[in-house]
Amino acid sequence: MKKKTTRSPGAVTETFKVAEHGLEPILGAAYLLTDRAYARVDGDRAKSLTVTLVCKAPGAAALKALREAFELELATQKVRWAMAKNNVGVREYVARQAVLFASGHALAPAPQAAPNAQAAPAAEPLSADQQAEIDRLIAEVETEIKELKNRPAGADPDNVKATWEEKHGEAS
Amino acid sequence: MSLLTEVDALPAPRADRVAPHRYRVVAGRVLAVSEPGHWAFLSAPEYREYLAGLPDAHPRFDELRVKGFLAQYLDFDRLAADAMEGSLLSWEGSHRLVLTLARGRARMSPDTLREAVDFAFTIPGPAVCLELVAADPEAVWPLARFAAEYAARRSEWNGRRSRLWLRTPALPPARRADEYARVGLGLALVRDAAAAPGLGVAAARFSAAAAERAAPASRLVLTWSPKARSAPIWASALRAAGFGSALVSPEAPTTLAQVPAFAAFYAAFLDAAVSDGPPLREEWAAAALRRLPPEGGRPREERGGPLPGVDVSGELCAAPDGTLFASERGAASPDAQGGIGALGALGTTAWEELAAKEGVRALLAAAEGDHHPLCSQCAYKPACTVAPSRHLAAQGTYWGNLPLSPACGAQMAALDALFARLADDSLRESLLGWADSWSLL
Repeated sequence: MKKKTTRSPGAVTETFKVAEHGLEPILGAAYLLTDRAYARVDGDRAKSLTVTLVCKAPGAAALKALREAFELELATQKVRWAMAKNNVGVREYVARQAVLFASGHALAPAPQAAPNAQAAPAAEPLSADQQAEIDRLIAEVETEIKELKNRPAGADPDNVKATWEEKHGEAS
Repeated sequence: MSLLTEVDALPAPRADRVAPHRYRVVAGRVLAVSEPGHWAFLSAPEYREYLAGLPDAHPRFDELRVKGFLAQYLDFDRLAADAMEGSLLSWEGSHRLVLTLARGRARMSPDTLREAVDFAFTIPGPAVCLELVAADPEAVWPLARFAAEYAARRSEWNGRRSRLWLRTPALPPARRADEYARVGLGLALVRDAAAAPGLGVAAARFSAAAAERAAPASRLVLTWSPKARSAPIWASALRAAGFGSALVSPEAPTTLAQVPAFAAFYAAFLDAAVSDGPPLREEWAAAALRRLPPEGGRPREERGGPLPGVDVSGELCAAPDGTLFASERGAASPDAQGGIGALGALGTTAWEELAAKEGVRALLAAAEGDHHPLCSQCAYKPACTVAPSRHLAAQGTYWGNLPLSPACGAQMAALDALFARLADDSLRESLLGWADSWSLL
């Protein structure tokens, strides 16, 4: 791996040729390590990029761990991006077909599981009888709420049951 | 360590042999997950062989072919159908409507509540799910009863199933147990994991009454905190009270530093839930598993929707005054009223209008995994969604910065615990059974 590493206190700086490592793996590895380092990327994204990672944790051990993690993550990102790029055509086809299936312009294969339950139609307007029943229910509820409010309260000499707003006034 | 983990010395993947997938190291093995969410555990040498091009005679060949990991045997139309079923293309409507019956001195009126139930029945989907929220269940009992009775009538008139829960931190009086069951109202009791369970005879009354009348079963909403009591204590308390499930949400950790302790609690709870004893389901895990395609031809009535709490697609929320918000967490944020999460009002805003709102589109885009550098490479992408409102609360932006996100860290840790147990032959069937049983959150 052709890279140039410079050491400065608390930071790892490495320069990579984009054609060799890939733009996305370099940026991806730097992004993923932002939980433990401040990442800065300079350079020409068509030619070479310099990644500077300033370690958030102090000490030589933390810096060493950061350097090792970055190298490992860069290798991992290369594999992940290689898989993604290898399958661009597959994913484009799948996305296109999924949209066609969803819009009804193509027939989806039968589901492996039991068919999904049909989405129910929107609610229909209530009939007069149904409306009357609901009005009766609401009247019952309002009566019950009124009864709850009118119940004599138990003694509360210390005003324990008052809300914060009742004690201190409504917040502006 | 990187949130995505790594495996040493991987060969370059063969373009003609390796189908699109993502990988992660879990429990010492490589978890490979296909685009729609079929999964397989491979040893590191097996995974290297797979990337280099698995020979036909390999012992894992048939399994990986059936699950769609081999590029040369891909069933493209099946893959597209799975992708459609697991994406927003198949999304019919918000999974549940959260109704805040009371907040401070504000109370929802019966008319507003009726409008809320009416609105819920206009949301397409296989069933209507309402979650009523109140700190004092007795103070809102008339409203809760009305909501349950009205929803039952609408179910009968419209031919749609409905389920209602009242989520509250206070256990209602035991004398209410039969009434809750009679009107079909389930109890979702909220408890801080650091507190005493407080699930005694009264709680058991609610479970028994629900079972007798086939009403929604009681469940616990367990909020983890750093001083949480041990998970087995909670599992025992739940079983003793006859509760069939608990929701241990990864929403609880507020910093990345808290994630390891949460992960340990969550893993211990999973172990306690699948151990010998009456069935006990963890609801967040069940929701995540339901998002994946069923394994081995298992039948499932509905493919699960978004995880609980995900703005718009997972839930909507109505405040006591009838204002409609993209989520309960979004409704509680300080700038909720003027933010993009304020969607309108019950009685004036129709369900069909929501799709045209820029705020709705922004939230749906922010929740889409393919739009995030970390999510798009994560093995858990088919199962996971971090709610944009959670990013907003923790990091000040709906998009979030995932390497630093406690939400991402916590959900990833929870899924690590779940999949580590899926790798265990003795636990797998119990866990997959959670996904099979019908649960709406």
